[in-house]
Amino acid sequence: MIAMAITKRASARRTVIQAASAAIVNSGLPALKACPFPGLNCYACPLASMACPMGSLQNFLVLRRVPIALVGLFAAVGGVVGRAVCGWACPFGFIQDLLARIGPRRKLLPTQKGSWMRYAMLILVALIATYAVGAPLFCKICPAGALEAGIPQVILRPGLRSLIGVLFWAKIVSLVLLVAAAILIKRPFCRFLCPLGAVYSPFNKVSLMRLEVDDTTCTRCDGCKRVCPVDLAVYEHPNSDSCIRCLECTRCPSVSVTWAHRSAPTSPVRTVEH
Amino acid sequence: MTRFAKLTGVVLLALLLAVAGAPIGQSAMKISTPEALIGRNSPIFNMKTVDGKQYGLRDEPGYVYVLEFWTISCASCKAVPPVFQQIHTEYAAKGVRAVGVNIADTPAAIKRNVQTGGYTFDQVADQSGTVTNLFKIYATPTIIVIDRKGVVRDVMIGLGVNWSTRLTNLVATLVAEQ
Amino acid sequence: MGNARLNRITRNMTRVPAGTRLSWILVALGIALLIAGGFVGDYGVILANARTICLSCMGIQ
Repeated sequence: MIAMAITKRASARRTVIQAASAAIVNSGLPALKACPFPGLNCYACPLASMACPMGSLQNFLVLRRVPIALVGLFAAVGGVVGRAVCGWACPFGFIQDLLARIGPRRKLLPTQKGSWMRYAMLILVALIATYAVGAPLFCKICPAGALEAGIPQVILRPGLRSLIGVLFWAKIVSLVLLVAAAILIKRPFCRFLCPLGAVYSPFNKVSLMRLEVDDTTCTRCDGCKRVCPVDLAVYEHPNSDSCIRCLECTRCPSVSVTWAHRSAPTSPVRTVEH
Repeated sequence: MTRFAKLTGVVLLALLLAVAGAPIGQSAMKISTPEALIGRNSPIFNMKTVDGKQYGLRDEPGYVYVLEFWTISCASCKAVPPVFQQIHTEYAAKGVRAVGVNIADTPAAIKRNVQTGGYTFDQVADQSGTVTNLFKIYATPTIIVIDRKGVVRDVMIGLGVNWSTRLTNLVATLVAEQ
Repeated sequence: MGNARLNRITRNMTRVPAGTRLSWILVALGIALLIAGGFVGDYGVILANARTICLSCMGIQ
């Protein structure tokens, strides 16, 4: 029925790198807590060995301090690989990728229409409201925090149990809903809610790493969209802000990674003999 | 079927990593809590307030210490200073030292923060974590009450129900003790 | 303008499109800010915040 251009099997490489990254940032050795990890990983996790950049960013805003090093981290990482952190290093993205394998092959919401919500989450909640209220508001609703810190801390430290209030249960309920959603929808948190993803998203347009689709060979079979963990039709927007640069679609011979420091093949200047 | 096998493989790998990492994690985490100090002698501390006063556990005559470990960005910590201020006004002359131990922020930021609130009880900037580590503080807010003999009488991690009455009642009792 | 010079210019244009220059500037700026952040004590602030858990932020309070 479908002329699938993607015939190669999914490589285990990305899964292994994701697992390794999750293990390294949650190694239990708090030696690097001064250093922000580029992905979303709660530093209140009992095993966390690095700081969460979103939590740290909000802390700087609360302290009315300019987050120089964090802006540097975002620009340096985003400038080279765009959103690849989401696709390769983020433990919470990894969990959602694993959940997506359980559910039905055909997922709900195969669109990028709600992606503005993650920018709203970044600008309204993590930046403006956090600055105005003087408390890290995104952390309070962060499902990654509920999973990595809230639940383990309450298990490890019985003294905290008497303090559990409405907000904690609300977080648990939203986490459960998100887990259920991740089985039916590809990466719902990353696509619609993650403020850190919103930080890296615009870098896809300007990063050194780019995706390129050869229009002469692409049959628009949607094979790339099927293997894409964020349900993106890559041939439409190879450098979309929704792309998490996992490179699964490069299994299709029409899609390739280019590094912008090389000459752009589509540039008309290339015809000049040199 | 292969899909299922693959999934199982990945889950097993993740489990293996988690199990293999757990002992390292456990030892590194050193699950320790200040609550274990209740009824024991307080660790001996010396600290300098942001105004330059020097406070130590061994100071004579014996003082009642009421310590709050806090940070500026901790929202629930904001409920504590009004109660501490009240304790300070009422009992400072009777040998009670109510001290805010800020575990994260700079002295300048701390001064600005307490000035806006109009609080006059003492503040310590413990960015280096010296006092924080002595008491094995892992969360904010944590309140520790030490009696005149240097025994830890109460530790509150987070603010439970009726925490302020529990605190003021205890301080009133400890003031009377000699 | 000589042919050789024109060729050199176009070659450079091919090698470094405007977008690429922007990405290199971003990366350089990012690394500079990462280093500058160290001088103004950003990592100390990050560590101090990450060292302990904030209960209200975790939703327990």
